[in-house]
Amino acid sequence: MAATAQTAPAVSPLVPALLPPGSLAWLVWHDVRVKARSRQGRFGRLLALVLLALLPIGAGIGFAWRVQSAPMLPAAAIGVVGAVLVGLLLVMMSSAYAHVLRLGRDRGELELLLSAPLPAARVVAARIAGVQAIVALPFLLLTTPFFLASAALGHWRWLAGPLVVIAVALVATALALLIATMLDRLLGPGRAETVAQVVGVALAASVFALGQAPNFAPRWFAAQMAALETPPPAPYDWPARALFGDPAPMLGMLAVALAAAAIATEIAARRLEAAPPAPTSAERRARAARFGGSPARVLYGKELTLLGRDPELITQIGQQMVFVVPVVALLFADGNITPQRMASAGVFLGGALASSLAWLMLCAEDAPDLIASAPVTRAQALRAKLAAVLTPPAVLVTALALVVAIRAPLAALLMLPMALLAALATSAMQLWTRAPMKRSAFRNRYRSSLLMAVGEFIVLGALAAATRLILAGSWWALAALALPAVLLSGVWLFRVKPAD
Amino acid sequence: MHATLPALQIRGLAKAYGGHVAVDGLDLEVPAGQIYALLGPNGAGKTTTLRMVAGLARPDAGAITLFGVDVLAEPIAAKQMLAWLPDEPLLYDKLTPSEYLAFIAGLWRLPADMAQLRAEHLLTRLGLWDRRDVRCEGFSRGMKQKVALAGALIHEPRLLILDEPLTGLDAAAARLVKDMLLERVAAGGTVILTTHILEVAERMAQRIGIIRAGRLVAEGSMAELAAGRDAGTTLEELFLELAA
Repeated sequence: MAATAQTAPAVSPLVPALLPPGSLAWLVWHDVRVKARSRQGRFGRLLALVLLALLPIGAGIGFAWRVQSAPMLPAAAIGVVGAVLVGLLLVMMSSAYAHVLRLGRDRGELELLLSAPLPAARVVAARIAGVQAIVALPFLLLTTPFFLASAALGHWRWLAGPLVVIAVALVATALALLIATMLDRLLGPGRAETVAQVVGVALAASVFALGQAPNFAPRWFAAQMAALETPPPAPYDWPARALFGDPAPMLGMLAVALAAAAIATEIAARRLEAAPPAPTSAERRARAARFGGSPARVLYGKELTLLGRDPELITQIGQQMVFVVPVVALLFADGNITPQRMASAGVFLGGALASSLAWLMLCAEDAPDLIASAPVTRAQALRAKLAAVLTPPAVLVTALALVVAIRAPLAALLMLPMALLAALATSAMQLWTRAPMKRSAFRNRYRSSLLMAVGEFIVLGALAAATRLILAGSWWALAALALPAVLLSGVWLFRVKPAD
Repeated sequence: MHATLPALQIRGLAKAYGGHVAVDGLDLEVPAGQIYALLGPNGAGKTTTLRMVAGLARPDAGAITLFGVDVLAEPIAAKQMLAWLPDEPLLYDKLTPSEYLAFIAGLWRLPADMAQLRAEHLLTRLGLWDRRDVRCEGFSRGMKQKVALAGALIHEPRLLILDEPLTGLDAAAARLVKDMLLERVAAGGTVILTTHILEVAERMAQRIGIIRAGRLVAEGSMAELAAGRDAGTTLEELFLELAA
């Protein structure tokens, strides 16, 4: 028999022995294995993950060391921890919602499992357990080192911390499912999906921005922290008390979490039964897009139409933009929001948004052969797509420029060409370094090249700095402009050539 | 004058990927106004050849002309006359069939009113009229294939290239597609198709080319290919003999 090109890793004989085929644990193991295999990558990515894992370990041990003299149940921290847990719940709900949407959509593999002679409830429970695990895992990785180190330093009750994180994940998943189902009924599946995605991004962005508040609103942040020093009344203080191992609240949290998990499974089972085999938005009669004019205009219109009709992609772009917030917040670290700094922020934001769109529109064409076989030159197609890439950042930056222009017209005038430069630079970097791929890979675009992400941040940072330096009349602006020029030249030298 | 020009003329075409030779000095001529079936085992170089004809891959050597137009020197003029339909439909899930056809018409610079008329005709003919304003993302494989076929036909290409056009279609849809291809040829068009369903090639194609290891090993009408063999020799028997 001929050898296959790709050999899957052999299944350990221990797995079937420990996890009987068809059992809930076996199904969860299958789900995790499939997800893990889809994320297998190069050694470099593994190394990056290890390095990233070292960060919470170091920070966790350091923080545990700092608070080692705190009492087992620190009353002064109950308010802050409670607020953090509310934030955690919101972020987890946002994450869970995205997975819940996919639960109804990616039915191919699910239907294979449902067609097997297994209880449907078990298959659904395994799938929900997979969502709960994905929601909880990043936060467990971030916080467990702290809880373990604290336990080792005498706060043994704080070992309840990871359990509370899991409990919050279970509640978040149940709430996400509940909201998804309610929105489906109230607004219809298509609109519900769009609304929920946008709200999810706004939620995550708010929580993320709140985390950066000490940088750009230190006084406001200090006032909030002072207010949180007074612990809230019971039962609002229970989640925080549970985190510190207070037995009664902890048992209460676990009971709530288990009830939430049961409800989630029930809702999911009904949702999966009710969901049509195709994405529900497919059935919605769309307002017809019009494609007219030259082929370039047709291509331009196609790109913006496809983007506008894909709430999941818009969400993912929003999520990626959220991660730019801390970098932009650094510009306002001393609490001063000047028009000059806003101009720099606009340059950075415009370039970052263009980068996401360039990835989607220039590198991830869903029908590349169709465009290639059309009577349009590659350069014409590229120009049309680039125009589409630049349109949303142009709207964003122009809006910002109007605000800036009220106080500093010159800053607004400079912001526009500099943002264009930033958008062109990040678009070029995407175009030169990416092999064609599917839009569905957008979620992992930074994960696939850490170097690229760093390079992009350097280019955007340098252009944002150059904007500020030009406005300050400093000759250092030339150096700030030279840096991206050098970096872009390097990327161009090692660019990916279009395949024949 | 056009009637005398072959629809497709290939001379010394070669293409290698890494160390693997996909097409090895291929010579081929397809007369206009016919259905031509290009057959061969998996990996014989059929799709690579047709991708080069459609301007999707650049040959390492050789020349390709479509109705006398050099594909390499004048790609836009060549593509204007051609439609390419691969086995995996080239669709945008977020567009409706109507929008998809309007998009294709725009790329091929078809006037809007004409595009609309043809879209109506094609969508009705292919049984998609009721679904014309529904996004393609929920369509079955067969429906997607039909939308893609409508897209390939809307600009009435002089040469239609189809790679496994009947994949995913039910019997009625397959019959409809075959009828539409025959009508296209009756209207003066030329169709080149690859298929593993030899019966389709035998029944539909005026000429058949068999390709093996990137070279043409036999070519002609069914009668020419069977000449000198037992009466009743089927294309399947010929294929197994020539392509093995």
